[in-house]
Amino acid sequence: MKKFKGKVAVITGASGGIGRALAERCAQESMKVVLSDIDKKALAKTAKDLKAAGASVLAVTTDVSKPEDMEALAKKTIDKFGAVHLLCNATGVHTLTPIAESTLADWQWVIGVNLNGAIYGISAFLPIMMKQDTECHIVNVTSVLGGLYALPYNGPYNVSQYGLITFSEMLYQELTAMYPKIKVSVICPDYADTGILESERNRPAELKNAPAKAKRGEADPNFEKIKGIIEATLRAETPPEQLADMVFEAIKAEKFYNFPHPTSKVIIADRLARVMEPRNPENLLKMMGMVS
Amino acid sequence: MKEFKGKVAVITGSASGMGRAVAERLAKEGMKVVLADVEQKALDKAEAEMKALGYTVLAVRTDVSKPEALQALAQKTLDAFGAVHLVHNNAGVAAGNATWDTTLADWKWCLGVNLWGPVLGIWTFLPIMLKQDTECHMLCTSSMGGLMSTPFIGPPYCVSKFGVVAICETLSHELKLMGAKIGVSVLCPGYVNTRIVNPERNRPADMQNDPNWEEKVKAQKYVQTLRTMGTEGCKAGMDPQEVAEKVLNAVKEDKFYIFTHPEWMMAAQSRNDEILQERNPTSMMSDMLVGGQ
Repeated sequence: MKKFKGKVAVITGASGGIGRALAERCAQESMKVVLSDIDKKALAKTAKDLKAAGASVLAVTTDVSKPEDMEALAKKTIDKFGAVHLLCNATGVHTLTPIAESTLADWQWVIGVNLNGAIYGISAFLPIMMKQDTECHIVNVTSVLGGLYALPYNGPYNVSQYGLITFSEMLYQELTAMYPKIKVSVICPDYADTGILESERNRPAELKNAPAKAKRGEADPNFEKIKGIIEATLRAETPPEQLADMVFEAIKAEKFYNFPHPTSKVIIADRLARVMEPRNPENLLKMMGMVS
Repeated sequence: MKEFKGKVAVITGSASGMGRAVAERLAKEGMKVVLADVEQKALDKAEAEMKALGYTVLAVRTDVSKPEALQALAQKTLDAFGAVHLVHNNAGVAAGNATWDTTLADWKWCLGVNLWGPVLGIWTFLPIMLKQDTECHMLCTSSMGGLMSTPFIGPPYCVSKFGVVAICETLSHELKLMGAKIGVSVLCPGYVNTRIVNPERNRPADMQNDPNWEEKVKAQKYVQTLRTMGTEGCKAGMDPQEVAEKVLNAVKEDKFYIFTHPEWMMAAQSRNDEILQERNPTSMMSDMLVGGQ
């Protein structure tokens, strides 16, 4: 897809982080924008801001982990704008907890939003795109640390991101073989201020954890240290706008893999080489030179 | 884990296929074995046959996609044998076709068994192992499909198998950081002579597809080609007992990755190269199924 004007974009997780930056960029390209988010208030604000800037906007409160919500989102999109050309699955939530302490709710919430969200989104919108038979693009926002390298204390997140990358790869290949007008890209940022560390605010009441008896990670002497490193990484300053620009370049160039941070390639290469050898996963602290 | 005699192993999906072979191999090493499977008849048969060989066996019908079923399995294991030392999250199914010919029921069933099975198995048994503080091993069955994205075979399969690799890698890191005595391995086989291509017998009633829809999908050439390929691949595949032998050795030597089919590694390498060189994904499968179209 090279021309965007007048086309219809749907963005999940659109009221914050990379989702919001993507929505703004779509509006700048004169696309009609469907904003979807679970956070009703933040969504209303995003819609207001975009409308004030002159964009054609539809806002739909959506829990992406519910298939019926994604079906409703697709229906409302077609009712309002009559077509869909770009789908960006940009929701993401995260827990920082050892697997040994992860609750069932942690697993259900993170896999439900990050993995099932994209599955339900694609299940709802792909048939429409296929029927339309026009140029379309699906963008899945994932990450290197999580999607191609399994960081400790990110169990549910890693599962969702490994899953999302392979799903995107299969979908790309299937569409290329049989519906080549529909393209797929993944963007894998790591060092960006996307607000994912604050994702707890949107955890539904039924998946909240009971107040813990002990502080999480207490059984592991390294937990606080590594948690600090991960948090600092996630707060590092790549503006989401820069990521949105990269996504649009990828759409124009029909480029599947997009790594905004070239340094993360070192991490990917190390993991892939380890699998091929094969050698057991490394103690991360050792790999980072923090312990001998 | 070096010593097996008298210790306790729980294996899911152990009424047939690789699970059954691993159960027998571990029993032969002197372990007490808990067989867990959703298929009652096959489970009864496996239990009877293994008991006839003189092994100590407990059989528990288990739907690994249900948290309460795993909790009950753990309770029955502890009630019968007082401890658990090795858990093999092995149960697996395959479902779906090309993404657009895959239903939400296919996703739910396949992710439920293949992905949630290991998640729930770890969620259930890991705290017990940590509390025991004895040498233990957590083992999960993934697949070569957990290292290379294979289009058209149904995306739930590779999504679940990549997910299992992710859990195991994360768990291995974390247990090392904690200094826990629990080893972790992930089993990634190619074709093995099991009934994985015919899992429909175990699909629950509430996850069935519309039969008319199913007929239409099955009539497509790519689906038929794949089905033949899968059936013949498994028929000519590795003997599950050979896989079991490799599993036992990996547990003994604390090897994380268990690759049984070195000849498949080339294909995994080509995915790796595509990622590192940022080339768009390709696979032999697409070429074989729709080449020249």
